[in-house]
Amino acid sequence: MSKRIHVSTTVNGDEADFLCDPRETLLDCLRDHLGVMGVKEGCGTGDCGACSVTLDGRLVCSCLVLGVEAEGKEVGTVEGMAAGEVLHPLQRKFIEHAALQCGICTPGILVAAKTLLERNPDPTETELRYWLAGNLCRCTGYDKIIRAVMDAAAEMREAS
Amino acid sequence: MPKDSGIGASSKRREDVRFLTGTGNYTDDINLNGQAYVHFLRSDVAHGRLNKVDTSVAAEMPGVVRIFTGADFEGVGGLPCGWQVTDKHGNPMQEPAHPVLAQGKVRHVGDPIAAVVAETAAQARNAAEAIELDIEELPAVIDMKEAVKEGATKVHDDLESNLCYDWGFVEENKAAVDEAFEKAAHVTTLELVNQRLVANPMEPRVAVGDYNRATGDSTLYTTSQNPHVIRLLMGAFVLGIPEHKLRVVAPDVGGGFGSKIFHYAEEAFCTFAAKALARPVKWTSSRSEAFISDAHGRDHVTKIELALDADNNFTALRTDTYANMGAYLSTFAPSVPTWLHGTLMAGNYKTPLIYVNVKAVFTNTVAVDAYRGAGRPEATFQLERVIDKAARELGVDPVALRRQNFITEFPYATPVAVEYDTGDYNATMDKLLEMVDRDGFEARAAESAKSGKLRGFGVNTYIEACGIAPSALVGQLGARAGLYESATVRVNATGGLVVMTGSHSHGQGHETAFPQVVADMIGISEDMVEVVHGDTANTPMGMGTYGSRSLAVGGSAIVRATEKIINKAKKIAAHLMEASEGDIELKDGQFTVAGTDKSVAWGDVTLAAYVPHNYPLEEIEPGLEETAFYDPANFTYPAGAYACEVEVDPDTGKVTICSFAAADDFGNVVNPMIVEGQVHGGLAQGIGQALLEGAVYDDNGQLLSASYMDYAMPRADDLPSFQVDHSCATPCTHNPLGVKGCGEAGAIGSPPAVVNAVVDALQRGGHNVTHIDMPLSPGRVWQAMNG
Amino acid sequence: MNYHSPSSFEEASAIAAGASGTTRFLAGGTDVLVQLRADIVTPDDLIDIKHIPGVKEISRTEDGGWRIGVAVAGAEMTECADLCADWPGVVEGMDLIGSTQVQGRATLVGNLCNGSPAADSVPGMIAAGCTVTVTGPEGSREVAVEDIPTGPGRTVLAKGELITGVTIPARGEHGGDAYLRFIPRTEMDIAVVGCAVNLRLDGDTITEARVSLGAVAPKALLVEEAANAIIGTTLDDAALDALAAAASAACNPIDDKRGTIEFRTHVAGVLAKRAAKIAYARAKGESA
Repeated sequence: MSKRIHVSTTVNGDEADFLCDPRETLLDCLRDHLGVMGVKEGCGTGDCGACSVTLDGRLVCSCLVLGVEAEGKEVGTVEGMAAGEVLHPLQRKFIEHAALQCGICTPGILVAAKTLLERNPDPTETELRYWLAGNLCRCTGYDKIIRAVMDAAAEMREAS
Repeated sequence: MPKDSGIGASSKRREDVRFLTGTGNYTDDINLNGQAYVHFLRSDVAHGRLNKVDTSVAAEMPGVVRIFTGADFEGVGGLPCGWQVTDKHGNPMQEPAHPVLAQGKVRHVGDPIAAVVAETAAQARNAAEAIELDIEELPAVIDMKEAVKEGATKVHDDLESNLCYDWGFVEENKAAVDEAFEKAAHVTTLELVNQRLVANPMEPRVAVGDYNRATGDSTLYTTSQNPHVIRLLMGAFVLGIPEHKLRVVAPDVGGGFGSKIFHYAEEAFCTFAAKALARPVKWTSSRSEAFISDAHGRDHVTKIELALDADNNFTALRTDTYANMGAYLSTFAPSVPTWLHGTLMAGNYKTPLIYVNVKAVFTNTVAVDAYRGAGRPEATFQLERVIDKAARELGVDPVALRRQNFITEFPYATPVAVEYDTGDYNATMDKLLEMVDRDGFEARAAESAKSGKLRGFGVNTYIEACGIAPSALVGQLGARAGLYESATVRVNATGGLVVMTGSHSHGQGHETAFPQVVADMIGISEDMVEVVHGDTANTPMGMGTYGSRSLAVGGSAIVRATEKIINKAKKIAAHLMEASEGDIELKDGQFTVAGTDKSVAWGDVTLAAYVPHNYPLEEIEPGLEETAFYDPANFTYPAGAYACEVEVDPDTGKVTICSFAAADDFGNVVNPMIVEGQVHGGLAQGIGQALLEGAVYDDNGQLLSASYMDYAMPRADDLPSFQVDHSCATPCTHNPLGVKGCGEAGAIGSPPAVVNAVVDALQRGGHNVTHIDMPLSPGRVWQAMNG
Repeated sequence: MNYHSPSSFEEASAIAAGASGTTRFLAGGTDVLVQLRADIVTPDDLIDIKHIPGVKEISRTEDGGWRIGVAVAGAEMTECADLCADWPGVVEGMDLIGSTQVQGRATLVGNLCNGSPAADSVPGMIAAGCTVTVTGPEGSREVAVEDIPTGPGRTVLAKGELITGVTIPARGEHGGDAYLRFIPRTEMDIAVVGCAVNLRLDGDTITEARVSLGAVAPKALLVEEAANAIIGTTLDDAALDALAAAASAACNPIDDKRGTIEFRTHVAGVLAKRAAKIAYARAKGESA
């Protein structure tokens, strides 16, 4: 048993502290120690993107980050997207286009799409498809996801 | 004019809000007080005699609660098989035992040997490493044709051979089929492989067993497509728990595609261990574990022959297939290469004589069972490939050859035991060709040639049997279960409704589509209807979701239950309005008396049902709740035409999908937006099979493609946007909604279109290539071009 | 497992040198964590080098080259416009490693030290003539990238040694580089063949060239014969054919389900041609 380490971090803008074994991933820490259940494990090897979060604004797979590495950093998850009851434009457009089916990959895809639009508010479809290539979805064939993100991007550009 | 609510409207999926905000409740999100964790020690050899499993050191490791082995399950039933196939001689299939934990032998990489229950998952994993095993390795049986040779090593020592069954269909037709081949003007032969696939829902399987010492009740939370089926199989056959003491809950489930139909050892283990230890026991599969423990799909090796007369009419079809069962019979495995495959060999064509032979074989590999389409993709692929090959051999247009042989009159009884109730295959083909601009192909091909690429066009049709299934018929065919579906509709006093269904939603959008049906029938807002599913404690006995059956069978049960509700409500309304029941009409949520201006609202009637102060108590009971079980009269037969255009890079063999179009006939459609999504997802899986996916074993039985690095599933940049259409609808004639089912079509219809297109591209490029086995990886395509 | 976060490379080296069990350095973690979770390697000591000053920096060297910190993620390189303008091939190689998510973490040095023959960033670095600084108990030394891997999963690094920075030479005038890889699909897979070409022109004639191949031998190769095939030419068809032949001849690939030997050998030639054309166009200042 390794010595447990105290980690102070920020999750979706709220300060959060937890104790973890240094072998534990950020994914496990979020789910098991902080009850942030929107992050999902699809593979544990960084190949599926279901556990996508932002770490200081950078898109990462939380299964490939140790919990201890979150010390002093800002973690962003799907739980931080909606402002109370008001859904983020991406969330609204996902409903409008039915861009999800079983929903298990959806939190990761939303986080990934949000980071893209923050960097590039007007992506081409090809840019979007490449950006999202790290997020596996077995249900939708991606078609409606792509349309929903493009539509959300258009709406967000108009609003800004 | 698109509707904005009810049947035919693209109502927004109400389940989406919880998934989009991270508040879904999947099985792995369930953590019970005092729960322990189980880790399964699995065989890393494909075949071996289990001489010793010594847990003494491991049992002393930190946090270990108890370690279970095969010995703990002696006297407990094995995992049952739900379908018994009868071979061509009239004998039952060979059916091996399937213990929860290995006993005596291990038979595939991943076969569970021991289960370590510990306080944490990490402790369970660590202790499993300390278990001492003595496994005497035996030769692995991997290749199906080798497996059935005389003297081959047997996967199951107590069976006669590795042949599960040798099935002939229709055996009585065999001589006539052979004769037709002798008389044929032309025979096209094709040998092909429909490769092994892994369903890979993005949520790995999870099971949480719980036991209440006070009541003696067991509960299993599991990632299942059919909780009632699990309760029945596990309770009655494995653990001996009566249904009333066993509850199975399948909450939000992250995709299934068939792989979560079956009853798995881990479910039985967690339920068993929770009772033995009197505390909750949780198992969460890792992805690598999923690859070697989830049932796989497909894995057929086939020779197909098509006979044509001098006018290019199909006169006979003959197939010879080896179907891999893997090491054990998974729940519905024997039915897939037989009744879900042989019965579809007529396709959309009026071939008068058909004979299908299937040899199901045991090998030292993971069990193979239903995966999206299950048997029907295998049938469609071989048929549509051999027709395409025949067209090329005969120098005729592949579309024209198909049209010439289409079935055009319905109902149509095929020579393979099913009757298509309705369809219009020319209509979907016409629609498809309109969608793809076939006339513009040559110009597009010339454009591709400018950048050194070969362009190809592939087309095919498909038909499937869905809405599974008429119980009496499948009973004759060997099913050990009925395949009806159930619904209870509960109307509350203030008018809202709860629909409790035996269907299970794991991405299909039932929570949205089912209320559309009920609301439409009553004429109320969809918001007034809520769906409850996935919990045996609060839904009627149902058979779950697979085989594109939920709307056709489950939806029909909902219609029947709602009809009963309406009938009773009309009686109440008649009483309230002092009118005759026969004069009562229900429209837009108002009961009226024909020819008068009298009316009562839906809510007045429902309130009267629960507050029966002014109520015909002598005629009917208070309350408004009805249950219906619906057993379909026939399968449904969705059909369609698909087309694909590809570009091939001749220097590297790389295939790019330029466009994909699907024209489907699903009968009536309740929610077009959901249907579109179902087709998209099916197409992605079918294109994945055609180009990327394949589960590969080496000669020693090691699964080489056991991670997402090695098993390539389509990603966003692998696929185009799809063109889909379902306007050519011929409503199903025998269910009340006229619906056929749409969940599997895309996966069934798309692989041949892709392969046909690649072969077309290569032939146009001057390469004499007639077939390439899937997946059409760059290496395979390049090898085919370069001999 | 002991988790360390030293504040200097010397301290990191000392921890590693003094450790008795398995040691791993943690930068991007994209390989270390996969191995940790799969129970392939559970280090006794994990040394997180991201807290050492300067490891996240991309800076210019005095001679106009570049110094890349050991914890600089691929995405940070892609976002550095001047670096992309100078060494698009080096950046492309890094950018092809994994998904957007992996790009947020994976590093040049991690990719190099993992020792995979198919490591995407390595051929680009070799072709560019990159060196790395190796720091250990005995001090520091500068080593050419091609001399770091010794075979699959193995490097020349001794106990207590770690790489503390990557140096990319000055681009100079009329130079261009490019990296292409071929995989069974288009993302996420391990390269079947990777090829980097770096060249310099005098007018239309190639005066200097370095060609590197990945995934076709136990370690990434610097193929002099391939470079010689195009030096002194204007990259005409004959030169391209000679380049392809030399690249194919250098291949010694494994035969696995990702591609047969014959196919890999052929594709190495195809990619060498395509990469050379891109590098040539870039050297001429044309967009490619």
